[in-house]
Amino acid sequence: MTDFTATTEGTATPAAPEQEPAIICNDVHKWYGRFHALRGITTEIAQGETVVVFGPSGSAKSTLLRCLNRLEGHDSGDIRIAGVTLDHQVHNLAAVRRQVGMVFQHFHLFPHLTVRQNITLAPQVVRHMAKMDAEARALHLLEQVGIPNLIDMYPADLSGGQAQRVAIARALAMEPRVLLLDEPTSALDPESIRGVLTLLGELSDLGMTMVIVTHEMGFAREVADRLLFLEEGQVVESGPPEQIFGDPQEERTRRFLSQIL
Amino acid sequence: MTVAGLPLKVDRTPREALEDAWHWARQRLFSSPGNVVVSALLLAILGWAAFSFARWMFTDADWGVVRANRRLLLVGRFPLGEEWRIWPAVYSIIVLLGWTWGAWGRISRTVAATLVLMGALVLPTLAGWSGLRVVAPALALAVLAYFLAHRLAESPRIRGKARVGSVVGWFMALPLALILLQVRGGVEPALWGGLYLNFVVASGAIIGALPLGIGLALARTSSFRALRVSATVYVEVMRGLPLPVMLTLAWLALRAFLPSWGGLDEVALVYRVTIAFALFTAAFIAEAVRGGLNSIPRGQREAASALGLKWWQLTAYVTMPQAVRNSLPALAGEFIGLFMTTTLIAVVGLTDMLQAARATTEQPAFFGRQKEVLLFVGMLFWVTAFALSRLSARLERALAGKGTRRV
Repeated sequence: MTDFTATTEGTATPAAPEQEPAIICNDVHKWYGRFHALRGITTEIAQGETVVVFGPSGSAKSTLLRCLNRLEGHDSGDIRIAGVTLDHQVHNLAAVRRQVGMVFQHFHLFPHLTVRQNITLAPQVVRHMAKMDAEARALHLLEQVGIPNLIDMYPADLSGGQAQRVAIARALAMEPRVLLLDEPTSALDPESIRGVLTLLGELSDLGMTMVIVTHEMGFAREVADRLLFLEEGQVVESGPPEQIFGDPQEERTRRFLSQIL
Repeated sequence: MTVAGLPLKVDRTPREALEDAWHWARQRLFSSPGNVVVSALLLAILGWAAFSFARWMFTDADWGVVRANRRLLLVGRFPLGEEWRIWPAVYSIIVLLGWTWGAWGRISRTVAATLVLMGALVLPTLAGWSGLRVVAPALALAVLAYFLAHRLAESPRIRGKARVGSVVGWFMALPLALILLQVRGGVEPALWGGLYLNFVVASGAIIGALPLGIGLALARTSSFRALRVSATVYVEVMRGLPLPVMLTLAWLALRAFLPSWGGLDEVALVYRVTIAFALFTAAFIAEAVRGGLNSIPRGQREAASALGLKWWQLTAYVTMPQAVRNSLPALAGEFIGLFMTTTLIAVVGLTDMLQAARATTEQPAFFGRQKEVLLFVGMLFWVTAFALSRLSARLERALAGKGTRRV
């Protein structure tokens, strides 16, 4: 395994001391109209930590993830991510988006661009990387995710597993410090699921900070440093896999796990 | 490959093709006694209609009226000896057509055959021997440009450049045409006419309307209320006005509204009419593009913003290219419609091709020959619209994001 996080140029690191957690959520609330989606989320995610968020559907797992890079704005509380406070300030938003990559359930590749262009677009446009450098890096990343031969394909020609690998490479091309993954394997067939999960495991081993919403509990047990059990917009329980699977403290966690395992 | 549900080999010998055709006819037209009767009746009616039309076209019709008036139809009252101002534009349009077609795909055999057939029907009468001598090299160049562009587009690296080149070429063609009409004394706009005037007005209106329409579409989908409202008002007003009203306003009333800076109120009627067309068409283009924008899944915007693209970047690189691709059929429809409606400029006293055609029927030598002239003019419009429509279908396919596996 070679280094995913190898930079082709010096990353502009924000003034975040090494010991500061990658993500700090303090009493985060979010309403959709009168629906109270997030009800006081408080948690810290350390740098290099891999956290799996799980819970019943409607428990606002995705909402939490989308608040972390401000695809949705939260209504009260503080979110500090990679050293930047998320608020209404535009330059903070830009800074966060540069630090935080996101992978979606349905990939959301750009259908009018080739794999190469999908990966190199943001580095060129946002980080003003030279085209040659961006393309060299795209090829390098595609080699890492195991599909360098697909570089000139269009998304329409890819299978689900291949598309998700491209989406991961696209997110990594921005050299994010935190990677958010919203049910990255839910739209894939069983065979592709294993491949993508293995890839995520490798990323985790390399020290990428990741927050993953997933229902793959086997993967969570193996790869996660910590699990967050969410229900009705609240963190019910949080702890290492041994605790969550072996000795859950909360009745609700126990009930949910007994339903899905 | 299948046609109408029947399997067909792509490369057939003539004999196989005939067998396929016979097989098709047996299955589709003569499968039962009832079908035999209906098919025979319909075929007879169609055949008779085609025969009588062909007989009229080749025996009764007198195409002399077209031959005698071809200059009037093509350029109106454009002064003699000033043709050099027009030929370069005609050349660049013909060559660009070939280049564009080659860069964005290939021409299908049916379309190529149709264009050649129509050209063979129209060109000898239209251009005459003297004209053919000038047009023939342009056509040869167009064929050459087609093959060259097609060849270049095979390499994915050069394809993009060849395509950008074609688009830039089209946007350069009109300024070139206009400059040529003005330099070295120039020909005053009131003397521009015929088919050339239709082209100038239509392409000027398209070039003006496209950016304006895209801007309006963005404004209508903007989160700023003021922008949204003003764009909506603009679109609704423009769509509600009949075009002749717009044209008459441009003719009579514009100088009453417009300030007179820099002689703005002295602008030639042709320009004012073109601006009116552009303003009018922009409203329809805005709606087509807005439809395209609305059809883009929300995930595209989210993925782009998650990558850090700002609004204008995600618009320019992600949503707008997809929106334009999605609305291409509608846009092509607008452009063809625009080209047809440029015949309305007769309302304000300009002599476009249709008006020139009407004028010929008043010549004593050609009384009662409207049929020929109108049919001929119709054919010219049809060929242009057909080429535009097929070309846009090619663009659509080229932009569909289907890749290397399926070319």
